Amino acid sequence: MSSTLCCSFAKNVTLRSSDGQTFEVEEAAAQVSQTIKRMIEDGCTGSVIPVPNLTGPVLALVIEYFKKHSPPSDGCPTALLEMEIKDWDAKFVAVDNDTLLDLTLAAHYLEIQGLLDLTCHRVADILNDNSVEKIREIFHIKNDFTPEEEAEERSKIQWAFE
Amino acid sequence: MIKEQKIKLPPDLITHIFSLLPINSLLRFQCVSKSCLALITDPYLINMSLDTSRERSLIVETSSRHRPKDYYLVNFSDENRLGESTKIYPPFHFQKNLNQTSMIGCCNMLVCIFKSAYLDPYGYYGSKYDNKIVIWNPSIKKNKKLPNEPHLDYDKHNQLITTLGYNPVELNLAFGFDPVNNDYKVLKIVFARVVKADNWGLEPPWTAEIMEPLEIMVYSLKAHSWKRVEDQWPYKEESFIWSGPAFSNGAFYWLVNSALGSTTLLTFDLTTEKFGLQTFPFESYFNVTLEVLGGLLCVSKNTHEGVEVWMMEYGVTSNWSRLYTVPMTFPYHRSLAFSEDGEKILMEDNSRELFWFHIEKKTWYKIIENARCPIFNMNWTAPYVESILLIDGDSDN
Repeated sequence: MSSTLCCSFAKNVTLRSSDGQTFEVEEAAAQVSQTIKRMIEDGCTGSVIPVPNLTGPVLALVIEYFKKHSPPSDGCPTALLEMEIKDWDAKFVAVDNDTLLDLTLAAHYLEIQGLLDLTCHRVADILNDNSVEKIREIFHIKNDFTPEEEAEERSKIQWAFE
Repeated sequence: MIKEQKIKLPPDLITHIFSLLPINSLLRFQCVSKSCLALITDPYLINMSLDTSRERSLIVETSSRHRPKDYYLVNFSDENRLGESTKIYPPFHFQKNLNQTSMIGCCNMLVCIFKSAYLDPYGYYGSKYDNKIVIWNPSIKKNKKLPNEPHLDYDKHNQLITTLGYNPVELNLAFGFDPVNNDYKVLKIVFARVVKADNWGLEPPWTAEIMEPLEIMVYSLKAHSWKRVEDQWPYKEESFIWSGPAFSNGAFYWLVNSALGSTTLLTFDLTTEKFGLQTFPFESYFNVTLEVLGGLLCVSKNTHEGVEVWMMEYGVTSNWSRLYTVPMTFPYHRSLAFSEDGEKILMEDNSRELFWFHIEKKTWYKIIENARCPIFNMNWTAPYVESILLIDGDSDN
């Protein structure tokens, strides 16, 4: 069968972001995303795969992640390679907070478990390391407490601030 | 200018992130804004966050003759040494005369503690009924005090004391979780413990004392009230509770001997609030104790080879399988938890020290104490998981 023959070559798929940018990526790499994997299995690969929840710049980042995390063609990943990927991951999420949240959402929509764990841990670290004031700034959260209300909430859990 | 929050994470992502945060950070997050406060106190999110496992701890009660009781949360994620220990202070109702406090039980993330009105480890009723029961979340320092339960009939009680010459009333408390109604419940059985003088010393001890329930009540945390259990006590003949209560899978379990000498497994289903009787397949009940391991009901049984631990198949009271045998050389007291890889068991020996026991290899090693906060004289312990349950409760201080 001709269709089975062509599977032995590296096949590419095209992904299109919400703002119409298209990216070509190896099919095996794109399957790091469970969502895309299902679409490919369902035979949606003929044309372009739309990724309507992601903008071009975010999709570009996700594709970088795909490439780094695509299964190696020559069998099992070595320990050295795993270490390298770990370092790479740490640098990958050392981004500004808006991008981090975008990536978290992208990992959620595209079901990329590794990336989701990575970004959620990073967000948790930021929440853990910063003061209430700083968290508001980072996540653009408006403080809608009156000073009295805030003081009251704080007094209830004073010990958690110590 | 402050931008409005432009990226909204879906609730399940937020809960996932929350579950990665230490409890203190999570609580501080409440003060960020009203919506953050609402988010953390949302029952849906609180329940969701229960599915994700936090670092594992033990709640430990220590006591000695010369010191009042102390309570600690001790992390045991590290399999070689006990981790960070945090001293915890019971709710203010309990801080005076801490030695009158006893643990009723720990059910995942909540602890139930009891303070009898009198210095009596068995919780016998005195003539006054000011026992205190509190459901407590030590990791967020919140608690809920149970309302005073309706009292026993004073006259009947006094009459019993006069007839018998001693106070026969014994309180039996159990704390557990009803998974169907998502509710924590406390079962209270008030027994009259009557010594049958005729049999004393002549018959095996289980017929020497009998326990007759005077009153059976159940408290629901959701309803925050007590109600009488409608179901009848299932024993017609004289009976005596041998071991338990053990909480597993929505039910309490006890081993009960009847006057006829047979042992049965008594159950109380927390959803239906009904008692049940199950046959108990172990013959030498003298040497058998109920335990709970990984949420499942187990029995430990002394044999000439050591202590066998058997586990009941999930919800099937007739199917038991042997998990492991602990050699005689280990002074076994009780199993507490599985290791993360499932290969080892956290065990307490009979001098209340903690060990990891390797199931396959049958070897064990002692867990080193954290020098910064050694646990002296462990009196009681149970696996515990931090949570923000009971966040709407009263503050401990």
